[in-house]
Amino acid sequence: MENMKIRVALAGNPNVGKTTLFNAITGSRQHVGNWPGVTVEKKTGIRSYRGYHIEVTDLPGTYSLTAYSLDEIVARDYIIEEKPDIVIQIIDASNLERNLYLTTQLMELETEMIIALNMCDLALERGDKLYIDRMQEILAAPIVQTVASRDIGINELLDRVIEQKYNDRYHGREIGYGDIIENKVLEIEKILLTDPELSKRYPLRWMSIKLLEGDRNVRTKVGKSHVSAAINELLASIDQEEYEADIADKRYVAINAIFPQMCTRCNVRMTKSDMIDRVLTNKYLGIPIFLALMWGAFELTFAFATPFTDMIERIFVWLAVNVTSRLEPEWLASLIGDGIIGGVGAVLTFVPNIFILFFLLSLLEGSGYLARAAFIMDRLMYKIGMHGKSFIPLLMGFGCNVPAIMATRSIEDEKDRLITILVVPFVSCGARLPIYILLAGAFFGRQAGTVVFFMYVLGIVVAVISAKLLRSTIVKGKPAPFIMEMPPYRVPTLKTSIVHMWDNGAMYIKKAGTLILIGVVIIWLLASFPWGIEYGSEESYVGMMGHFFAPLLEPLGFDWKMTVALVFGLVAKEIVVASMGVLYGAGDSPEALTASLLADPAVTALSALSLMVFSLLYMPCVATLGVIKKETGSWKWTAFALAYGIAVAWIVAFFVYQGGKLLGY
Amino acid sequence: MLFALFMGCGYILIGTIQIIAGILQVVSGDTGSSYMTAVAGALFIPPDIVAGMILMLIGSVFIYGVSEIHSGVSEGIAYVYVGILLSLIFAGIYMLAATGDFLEAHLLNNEDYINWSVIDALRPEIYMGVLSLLTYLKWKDSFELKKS
Repeated sequence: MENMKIRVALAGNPNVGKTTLFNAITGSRQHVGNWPGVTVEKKTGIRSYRGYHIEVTDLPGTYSLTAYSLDEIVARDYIIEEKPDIVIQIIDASNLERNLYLTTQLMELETEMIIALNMCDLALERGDKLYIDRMQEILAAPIVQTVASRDIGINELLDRVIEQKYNDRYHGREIGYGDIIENKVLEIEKILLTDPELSKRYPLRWMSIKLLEGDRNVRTKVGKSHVSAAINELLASIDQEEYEADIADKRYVAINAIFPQMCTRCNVRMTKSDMIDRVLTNKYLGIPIFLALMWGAFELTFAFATPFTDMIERIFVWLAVNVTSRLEPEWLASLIGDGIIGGVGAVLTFVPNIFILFFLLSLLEGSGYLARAAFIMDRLMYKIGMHGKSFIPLLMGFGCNVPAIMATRSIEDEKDRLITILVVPFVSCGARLPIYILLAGAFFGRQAGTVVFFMYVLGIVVAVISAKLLRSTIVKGKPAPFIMEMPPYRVPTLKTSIVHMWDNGAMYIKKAGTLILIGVVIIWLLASFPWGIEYGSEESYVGMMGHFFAPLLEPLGFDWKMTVALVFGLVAKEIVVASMGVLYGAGDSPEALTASLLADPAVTALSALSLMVFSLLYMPCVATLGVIKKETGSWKWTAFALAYGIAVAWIVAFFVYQGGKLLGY
Repeated sequence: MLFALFMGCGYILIGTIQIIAGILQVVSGDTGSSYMTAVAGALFIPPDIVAGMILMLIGSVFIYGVSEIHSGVSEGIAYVYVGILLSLIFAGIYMLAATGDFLEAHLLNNEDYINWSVIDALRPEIYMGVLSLLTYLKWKDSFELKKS
């Protein structure tokens, strides 16, 4: 059979397994970009199946198709304008009732629909009885049961897609809204019919209902038509807020009527997920448990990774010794030994820590726990003027600040979003972890894991205080109410966690081979010239640079080498460790960087702590600044993020260092 | 309920000892001469303030469950279940940490670990976790609960 193309869109509420299903269908044949003109991520993928070329687009997860958020507008505009052949709505079988609201709205788009009833295993475990045939009849859409995380039902779903595309005609159902609303819908449809272009392009009933609901986006579409005056006149004669509420009410009445026919809860059991939720969202125990689990993750990152980092360190030390002794000429031996191996090696030494931390974070995310963390923190966040949804980007910042800032797109309120964007850089990302592990490991022994944990806590605390400050000064207002659905707990699959770990960790290794490599070569050049001076000495260009900036940072306990490392760290935080690897690892001795630091009298436990604090808080890396500019669209806020970060870092590190000295440390 | 009470009290007591030993170590540099640190040593409790707080937290989860069950709230069993989960999680963390120490001592021959032995890795999170696991395996059916 020749290749034929089928365009499929995946729609559904957040946390129903849409992305898992998307990955199960498309595998690695995916492309991630942005929807045109907006900062919403677009994922498309391809699957060849039974000779058909199936192009799958993953629409943003939404609870409805109103015009309150970019995600919703993007999702429904894609269906209306691009007219995919099939829309698959993924429904969480264990939360059927809640998902049906979106179903009622998708039905009004008059699109060919299939329902993927996902997470059936959870519904069955809970004792729910699902009547699939009745469901198909009521919703007038084929239903396929899936468990996307275990690749169950995927082929059946694709078979149904092919069947629906070529053999079935659309025969959808409508929700009845009562005589008053239906009469108005008819009136509006009659007006819209006089514009053939509008009536050809958009489903008229849907458009009429949206106009009655006061949908601004649809008003804009109609605004360009000659019928807009008549529509405006009709809408001016009604109370649109009342109509909007009535329409929503009628949808829920319909759902309440049809739901019991589709599903009965035969055996109301408290599942293990319910039991865990009861405890983890307890108002007294929730936050301490969250902090304990995060501490455990950092403790493990440090304790279990240590032998592997030691192994890698020994390899690089051996390499450096052998390269320096065998290569000619001397400058080349110094470039490769002291520069590249010393610098890049220092960063690559921490690969085990990075991978373990990303693995643990992906376990926490895959289990569904991080969604609870946002819920637990919401009460606290609201008190300090932040939106509960802001906690998710803050948590994502533990991996990398760049996707964390992009994740703020899900925050509807612009002020909430701006505040979150400005404070996310204070959250300690993976790039800063090598700095903590190097310094905490060298100066704090067995307490290193705890010190690293407190760095992460400090970052969150500073982020939260900054949010409060911004909310009461520059970005005034009250945060919007927080409504969030929590996914059920699942045992995270090893495959997904490893893939996630690899995606994030590979970025770190790639940076080491590119940006950091360039950085260390530049530092080596500056440390080697003027020609004839001792490598890495105070008389070198790097020494001069260090001494130029040192007076600014001396009150924080930093010598010129640490200052140089921080200056180069402006590009990427990993370069702080790489720079120290070049500067402190300098010399004939093959001592590891840790031993060099311990041997340097200018570096004490207190100055190391101050350096960790400064590294945590000072300006975000260039990549993060770039995404701040992109997401805010403003040079003003980008400059503010830069200046504010440096100021906060200086003040906090000053208090840490000078306070420690006063206490006798 | 008796198991939860025993585990809750055990975790809280051990956590308290661990915190006190940790404070003594930080404040006075005590490395084992005082009564408290001797008790801690006998029970393989390393001085560690943060780890002690976590033990107390796990104990609190168990005790919260006991309190709910005692008040007639059958869903209180959830706290016992989660208490067991937390004890297993932290037992796992410290067993992996011990694996790291083992590799340092026997694979890398790190001079800081010359005198290290498996006994050095033994700590309350591990042995209490083993106890939780055995109890869970014996009584796991009692965690099936109908909603009231």
